[in-house]
Amino acid sequence: MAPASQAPGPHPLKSGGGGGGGGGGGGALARAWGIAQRWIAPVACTAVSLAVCLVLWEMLSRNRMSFGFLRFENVPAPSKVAVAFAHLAESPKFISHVGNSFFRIFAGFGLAALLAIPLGMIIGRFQLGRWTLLPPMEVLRPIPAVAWIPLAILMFASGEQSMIFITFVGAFFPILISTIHGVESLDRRLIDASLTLGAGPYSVFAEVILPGSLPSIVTGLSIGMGTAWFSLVTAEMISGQFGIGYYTWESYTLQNYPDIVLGMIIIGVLGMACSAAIRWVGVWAMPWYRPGGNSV
Amino acid sequence: MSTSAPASATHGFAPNLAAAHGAIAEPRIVAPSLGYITGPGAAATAGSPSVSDDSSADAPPLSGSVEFREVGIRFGSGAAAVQAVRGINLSIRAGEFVSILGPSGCGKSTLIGALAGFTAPSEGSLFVDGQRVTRPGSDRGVVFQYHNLFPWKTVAGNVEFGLKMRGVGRPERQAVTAEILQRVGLAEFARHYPAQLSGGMQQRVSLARVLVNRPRLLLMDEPFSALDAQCRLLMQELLLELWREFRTTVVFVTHDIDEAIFLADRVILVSPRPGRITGELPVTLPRPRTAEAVTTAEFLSLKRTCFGHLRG
Repeated sequence: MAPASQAPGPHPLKSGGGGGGGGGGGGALARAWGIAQRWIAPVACTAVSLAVCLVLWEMLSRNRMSFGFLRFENVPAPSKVAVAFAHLAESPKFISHVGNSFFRIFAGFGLAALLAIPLGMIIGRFQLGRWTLLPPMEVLRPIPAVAWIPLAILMFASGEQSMIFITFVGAFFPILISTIHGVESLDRRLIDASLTLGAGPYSVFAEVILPGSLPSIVTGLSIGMGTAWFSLVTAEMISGQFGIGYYTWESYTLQNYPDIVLGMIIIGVLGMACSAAIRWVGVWAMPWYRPGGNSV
Repeated sequence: MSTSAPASATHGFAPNLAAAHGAIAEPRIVAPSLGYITGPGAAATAGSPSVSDDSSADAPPLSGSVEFREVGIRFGSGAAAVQAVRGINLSIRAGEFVSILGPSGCGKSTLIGALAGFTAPSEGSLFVDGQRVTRPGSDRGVVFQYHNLFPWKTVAGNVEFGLKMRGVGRPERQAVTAEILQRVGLAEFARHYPAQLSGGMQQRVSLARVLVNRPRLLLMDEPFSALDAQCRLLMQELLLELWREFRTTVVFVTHDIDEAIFLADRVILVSPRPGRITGELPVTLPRPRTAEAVTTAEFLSLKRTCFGHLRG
């Protein structure tokens, strides 16, 4: 039974492929089919799916479709957005907008990380820190960064500073909370181990608590990066000059509708790039942290 | 053993191990030249008061004696309080290998925790070399059933941790680490992370990480219980060799009768709830011991006595 059913197994493929190659042809074809299934099929499906969405969008906009409450007559078609991108890419405004947003993210997010990580470690490690430093944080935390905008404009001398502050607020709390969580959930036995090996208070911090809570901190950083972009774009729309959020809003007020969509896409791409950068830093800083990594 | 000569002269781990391999008759050279005996506070210099000079080459180790006096340990308070151990009186000689044998939940591990300095006795007092135990220190190394290696450090990084804490320079740390890893058979795994190793290898690293500190007391809390039988046997033999070379006192907690007898000079029997010492059994099996020792008549008679104790 077994040999009989085994024999025809490879053959249909061979004849079906029709290659008529040598003895190895069947194996190579089977391998190629395997590769196709594993790599080409998913890529092709993704491409088709995205293409269908684009075509649908193009049709809805071109034909100025309207469904009563939902209207596509003012929605620019993808082809128009592509033209707008070509224009923007040539103009110096592009670099200036993106550069400004990047700088604000860099400053606000960077400050947030520099402050939230040490603060979170102190709060997570010391009872006294928890009692004294955590309450003000808990009071401020539920206030969304966007709600700070009016006050920020009053508090800071320049719009630039207030926007950086809003970005800071957006990034600060996710990083803080994740850091506290990381320190608290650290395996107590690792601290004990360091003590029995002669570690002093400083070494416990630098050698155990910091690296031990790094996975949580990196998670906090990537969440914080998302909220930082969200906060920045809103702040730029309201009080900005330059910046990609400002560009998007300005396009609306100037009725350059394709530029609105272009601005949205650029915001998405920049946010994605920043998250990828954080993930890359995480992988670089934690070569040991490979869930399901190879084992001996 | 390609360590540079000057480094070896001061903190010479390399020649120590070499000496220990070649001539067991000179174990004294091993401990004092490192000078770690006095614990984390004392610098690794010859000036430490409790460390003798190399002249007393054949003397037994001077440190690592343990004294429990009427020790009782309670967890919690009020109605929820649990008496883990009670009325523990026990003296352990410096350099002795003692097994503490008892069923699960009899408070054996509590004794290890107290010796390590994690838990303070609720009653009585506990001394190591005449000093009251107050907090954890690198003079008392602990190996647990489940390893607590730092997952973010490589095998070498874990092993050299104690030396780093003591301020030993990098080249010397690396030399010492390489040597001890060689000794426990993990030289090729220096750059691996703990998660990439098998359970037995992880315990070898744990042992190496502790031994690099030259502890006067090696505390082991069921260290081989999670290993398969064959691996456990190899680890037991390795432990006996290392004990002989490093001349440290070992307190080894286990619920495995064979293991307790095979390893120890003396087996302490502990009853559960609250943990009390119900008896002790000197083990006179000749050393060095190999796995074949468990098949001898003497071993079996010791085992029978143990069973009798635990039942009665």
